[in-house]
Amino acid sequence: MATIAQLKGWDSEEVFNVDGEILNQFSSIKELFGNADASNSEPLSLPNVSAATFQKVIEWCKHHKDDPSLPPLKCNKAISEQIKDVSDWDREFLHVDQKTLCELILAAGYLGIDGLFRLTCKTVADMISGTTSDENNFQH
Amino acid sequence: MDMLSESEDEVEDSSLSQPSQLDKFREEWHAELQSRVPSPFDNARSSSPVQKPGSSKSSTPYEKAKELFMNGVWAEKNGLVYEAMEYYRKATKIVPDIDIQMTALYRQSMAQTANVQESSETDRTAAELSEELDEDTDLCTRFDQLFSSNCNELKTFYCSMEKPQKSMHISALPGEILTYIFRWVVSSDVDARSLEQCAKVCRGFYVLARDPCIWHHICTRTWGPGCQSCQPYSTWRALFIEKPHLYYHGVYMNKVELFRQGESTLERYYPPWMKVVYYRYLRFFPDGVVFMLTSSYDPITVISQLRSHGAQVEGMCRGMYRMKENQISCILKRVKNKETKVNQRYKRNREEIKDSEMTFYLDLTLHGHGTQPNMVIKWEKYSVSIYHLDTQNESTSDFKLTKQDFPPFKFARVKSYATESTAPLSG
Repeated sequence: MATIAQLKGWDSEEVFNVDGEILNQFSSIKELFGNADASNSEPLSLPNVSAATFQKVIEWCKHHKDDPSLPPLKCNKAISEQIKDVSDWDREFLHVDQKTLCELILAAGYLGIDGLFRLTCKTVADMISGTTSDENNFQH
Repeated sequence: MDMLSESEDEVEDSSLSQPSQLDKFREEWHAELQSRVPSPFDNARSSSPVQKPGSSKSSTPYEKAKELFMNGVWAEKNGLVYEAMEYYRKATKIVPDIDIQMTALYRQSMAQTANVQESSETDRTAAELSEELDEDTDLCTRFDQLFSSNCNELKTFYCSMEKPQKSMHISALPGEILTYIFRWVVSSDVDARSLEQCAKVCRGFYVLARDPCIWHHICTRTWGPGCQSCQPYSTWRALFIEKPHLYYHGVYMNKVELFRQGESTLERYYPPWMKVVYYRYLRFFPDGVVFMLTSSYDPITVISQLRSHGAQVEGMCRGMYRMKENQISCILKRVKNKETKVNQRYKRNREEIKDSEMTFYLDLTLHGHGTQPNMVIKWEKYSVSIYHLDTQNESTSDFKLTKQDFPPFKFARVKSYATESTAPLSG
């Protein structure tokens, strides 16, 4: 699919060409682009997302572009938020240090990628739960 | 006092830009103080044992301490940290716990002025204030105030790094996301223990982990949506702690030991005796599902298999339970495994069972063990009803609950049950 949006992280000039399939997953910013042809306009800088994190986000979105769309987060139904099992790919993907994980949560929250946001929050929660407070302190 | 002084450097740079707010704040303080002098709350406080002797008789030193503390607050708000420290020191010399009292007063005045804003939380705030002597609530409000004083900044950071780090830290996440993560921590398995562990980490986590909304969800998840009000307890958390409830982050188990004479051997004088040991496990889930398993295997191998809802263990019974106060009643049926590797020895028995259906009825009661609540489950009644498929007859028989064969269940926490959650907590 053709590039319809050009985005870049706040910390570098590297421009990411995002196609429609991926942009659709960015629920909070996809309206910004609409159907307009963005190829000749200025690349949009994302204030809260670094280039490295954005690279990761795009990687995730590419892998999950065929997922059925999730119901909205605020749905307040337990079923809608369930994550039955995490695929091996996701496990490998999220096998990162805490810094990256935090940045991913922020980025996912900012870009409105519910699936990734849920997954990352769950991962952090799983890291927290079952540990004692001392271990948590250490992780800090 | 120590809490406030710790926050001084944070307040310092943020507060200068808010002159109008400051003036309003001071006016409110003074109005509050003048109207509040002989209030019952003050009386309750002045009779507290921490207070210096003499101050409860005449209100003058107390008033003076208040005045000094107020000056300290004013100085701190204006960025005069050292003057503020001096004021605070003087105030605490007169009344050692002046900071706690003033915080309580501040909260009270805030609750009165900001009634409209938090109409949904008014009950809670009122309840909290009425329980000012409760140390736990006190701590929460104090921390809360600390953070609300930082709210002048655009972003509220709920915790800070212990050691300076180059990389991004969990404290960079806003409160909403942290609360959402905490809901995942508690998860649909109502792992309140992990939440309490989080609360121990730092002040910010403490405030977030005491969020009444989370605890309300925990209660509804535990006792069903009929759980409308936390009365007679002050908070949802208190309700959860006080009311008997089952633990879901482990199993209740007991161990049965009996001796049985073995087959006679050539040795005539010492006939062999077998020591038979088996374990009985009860695993409860928040949604009313219960597993019962009797197994002679080592607990370590068995317990890990009982982790999830869909567990399939040889000889396991699955059913539903219901709780009323501390009474638990369960109805269980044996789970039929399609591919079971049964020893030749037992095969005969199994074939007999095939044309009958067994249903187990358990009446149990939940008890505390020492200071720990909800740790022990005792047997009250145990019966099995056998439904014969061929004759359509049903026969019920009670087990004789001897102490030896049916010892009480004791709770054992299983770490692996809490390691992964499948859904966040929701009401």
